[in-house]
Amino acid sequence: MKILVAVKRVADPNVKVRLRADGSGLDLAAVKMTMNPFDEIAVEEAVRLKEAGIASEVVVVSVGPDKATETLRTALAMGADRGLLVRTEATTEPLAVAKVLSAVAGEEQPALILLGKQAIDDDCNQTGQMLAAKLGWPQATFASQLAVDGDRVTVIREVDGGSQTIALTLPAIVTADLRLNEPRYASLPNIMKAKKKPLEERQASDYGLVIEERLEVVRLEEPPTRAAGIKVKSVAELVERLKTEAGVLA
Amino acid sequence: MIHADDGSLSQEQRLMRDSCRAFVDDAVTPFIRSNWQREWDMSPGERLPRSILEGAETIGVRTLGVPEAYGGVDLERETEVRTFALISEEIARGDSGLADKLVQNWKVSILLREFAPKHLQDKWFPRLLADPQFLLAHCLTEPRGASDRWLPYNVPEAAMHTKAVLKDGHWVINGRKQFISNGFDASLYVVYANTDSSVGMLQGTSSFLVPRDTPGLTVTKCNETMGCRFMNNGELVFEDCRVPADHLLVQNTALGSAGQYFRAGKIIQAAKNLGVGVACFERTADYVQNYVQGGRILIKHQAVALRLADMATRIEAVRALIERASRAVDEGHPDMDVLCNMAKVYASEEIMKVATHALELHGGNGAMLEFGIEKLFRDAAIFLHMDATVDVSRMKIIKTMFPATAGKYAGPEN
Amino acid sequence: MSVLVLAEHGNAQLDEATARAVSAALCLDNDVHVLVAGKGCHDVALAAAHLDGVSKVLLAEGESLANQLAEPLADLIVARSGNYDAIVAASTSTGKNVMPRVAALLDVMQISDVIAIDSPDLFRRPIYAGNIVQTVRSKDPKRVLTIRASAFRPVGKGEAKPIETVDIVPGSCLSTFVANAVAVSERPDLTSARIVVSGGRGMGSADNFETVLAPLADTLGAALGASRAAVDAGYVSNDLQVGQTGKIVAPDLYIACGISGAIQHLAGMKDSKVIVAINRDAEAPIFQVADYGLVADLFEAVPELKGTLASAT
Repeated sequence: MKILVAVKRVADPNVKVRLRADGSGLDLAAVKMTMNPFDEIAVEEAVRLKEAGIASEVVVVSVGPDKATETLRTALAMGADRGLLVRTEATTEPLAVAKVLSAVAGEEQPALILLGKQAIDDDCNQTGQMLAAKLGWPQATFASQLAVDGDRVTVIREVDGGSQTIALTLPAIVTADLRLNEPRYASLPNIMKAKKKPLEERQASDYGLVIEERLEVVRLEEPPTRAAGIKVKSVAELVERLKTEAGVLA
Repeated sequence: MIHADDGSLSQEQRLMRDSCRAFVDDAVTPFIRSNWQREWDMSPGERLPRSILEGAETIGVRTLGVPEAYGGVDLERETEVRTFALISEEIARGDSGLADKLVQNWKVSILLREFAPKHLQDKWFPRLLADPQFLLAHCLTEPRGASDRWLPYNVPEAAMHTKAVLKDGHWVINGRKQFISNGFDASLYVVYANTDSSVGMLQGTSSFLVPRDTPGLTVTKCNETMGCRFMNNGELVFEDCRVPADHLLVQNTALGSAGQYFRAGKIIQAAKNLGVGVACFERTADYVQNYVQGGRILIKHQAVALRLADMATRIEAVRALIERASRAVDEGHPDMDVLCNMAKVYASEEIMKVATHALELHGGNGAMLEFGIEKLFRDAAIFLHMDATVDVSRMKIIKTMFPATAGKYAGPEN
Repeated sequence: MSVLVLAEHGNAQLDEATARAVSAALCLDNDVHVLVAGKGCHDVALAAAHLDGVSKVLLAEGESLANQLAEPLADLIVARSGNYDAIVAASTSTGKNVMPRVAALLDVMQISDVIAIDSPDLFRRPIYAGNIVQTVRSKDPKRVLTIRASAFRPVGKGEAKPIETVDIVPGSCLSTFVANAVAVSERPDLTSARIVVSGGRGMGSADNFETVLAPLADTLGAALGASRAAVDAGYVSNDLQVGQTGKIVAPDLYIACGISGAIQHLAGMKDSKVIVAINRDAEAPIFQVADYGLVADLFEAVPELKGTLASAT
């Protein structure tokens, strides 16, 4: 069984992203970039399925800029077999990415496609679902557990207030939530080995596609910062203020 | 800026640095910050939990320098020392003691890779790889001399006091080694001993591989140091310690061969030192942007801002020199010995200033054990001594630059 | 033209998120229809028909819709979509699951997690875990939105509007429902709780979470949360993590105990209506976002707070 994993290069989640001083956009020039944390979980799951003898090959794909090769190398160092970069400097909206991934899936014919549930930059949470729609495949989003058995995959999904277990017929799409696994580090020996693994570069036009934007970003702004409130002197004062002033306690 | 990323790093180097940084941020820093008392545990074996070395193993930093044929990591040789510098900086940013524990393994592994006969590599590399707690140590320093041994020039009277004599198919070693990094914990030691007292130490010192359980080798104590405390510095005594003849590493010219170790060693030392400086800067930058005094955050007080600028500038200057020196070593530049010593001594003094700023900018908190800044200060201080004192380093720079005058033997004092 | 709102429900009861989604939909157009898709959910349709501002309820019932599986639900919405310019759902796990599928089938970009509608084609939404707010204009002929429920006031109750039964869409069963498990915790769900009590590294141990923090949460009927530092230290499991890579919460009251206030954590809770911080360190960054700060040892203050509240009720 072949698994395709989609990964995105994003700003490190531990860095607070700010706007450029002139307000013309995000100041990402000096920001450390990394693999989207949820995609890391997706890669880890695919590699574990390979280690368990269930998957035969793990192919990682990214739709993004030149530098996303680094993200793909990280995935290769984690244990994926082969990488594919569909290169574009354009803003990658989920719909456009889903179309590219759908074309890639058409060529690669994977039995399972794993993605992170959302990218932590645009926070869209769409690509997996859109890809499933484009391919006409079943989807299991927000997976916290996954088991492949023959031509079926059973997934426990994190849903509001609990979990839902569903079974999908392969080929299928699964998007990873935080609890699916704890991704491994790309170890130094594996980073050196990853250098020798194949990494192909293509353009969206190779698939007859144009990456286009459907949403025009009119404005970016930092949300109003919360002003520091007051310091209370005692628990009694705190309770009193929560009841009368804030009105959040009965 | 503070982190190396000027675009000259290879993709692999960046990924390695990122893995090390993630490991440090996820495992090392949280451990250090919430277990500050562990440093002062007087049973040295208990100080660093096994899980930390096991974690280091998961990113593969314990066994750098071991050839790929034995399951190690073959770094790009053209940039090996630069890579060592990057990684040791990142680990030391979490804890310089942990970094020291690990880098001893790399440095000794390189020595073995370059000089150990195949049967020794076949025997010891697999054991090193198999056990995450397996550490190596390099035993040069003696009670009567360490880096200062290089001052009196290459003459018989400067020879090592530890002696090895070949007897019945065994080398019999007698003597003492002190201030040995990993000395208390190592499983395998490279030991230097005099094997010909009629010549200068460059011609009469041999090196041996001595397993910890060799009869006659006693680890007498763990030195309680002011900083870098998670690396258990130890003292060893050799009493008729019989080492099989085939465990001889380099006969008579061992100190010349050790250059391989020393050059990378100086760079690594400076890079670890830099890591401590980066930690000082990050902690301080965070502190002064969050803590309010006189109605505004500290960084908006100009006196504070100026000091922070000074910290950043010194860090970048140290980084620049380390980069130049490590490139010189990687490329075999004729100036490499001078540059290595310069990087090492410059880092030790500049980062000490950086650490002093950090301590002072934290006010009273800077002096509190549980706050963790004084630890960085102590860790920085150790570098003034470790791997040659500041003055010895300077002497070496001048002796190397002016071999015909400063480097010439001036005769013993009477 | 009109707006279709996907009702959030569990077949028995209409979720309040629907009233909030209707409120958002009314910012787009006055003609708002609600689609109730499920099985045995006639009561839900009745409740939806009473929502103020709704002009019609569409009720689709069938076995395939019983568990809100994405594939049949998306097919149903797409089949009805011809009559609407916009389709809206709350960013619940169902909304987030099905709406992008709908959008892709319609070949439009979804606008996720909208927090404000400036005009029928200008939407504000948080990116970078709420550190930046983006205003976007859709170039698509149809708009598919998910809205952050906490950002919109629920509409009230009004006169009952007609309920129209619609056919389900026959389709292949790509996925099948196996089981639901409601979280075993008796505490409310972290993401929808009205009050969240959270602990950080300052809690010191897993035991303290149970013996010091949990009683306060239970007295308040609050959900229990934690900072990443507490999760990393192994005090609690990572499903309690509030923060950029954990859960994003916006309760009416958020009580942070022994949490220093790292960016990572603030990103997950700074939209709470009222924030209380209890921390021994007067200079901890959490106090800069807290409405009420109490500089105190949490091991004294938290039990005292619990005691005060328990005796008051």
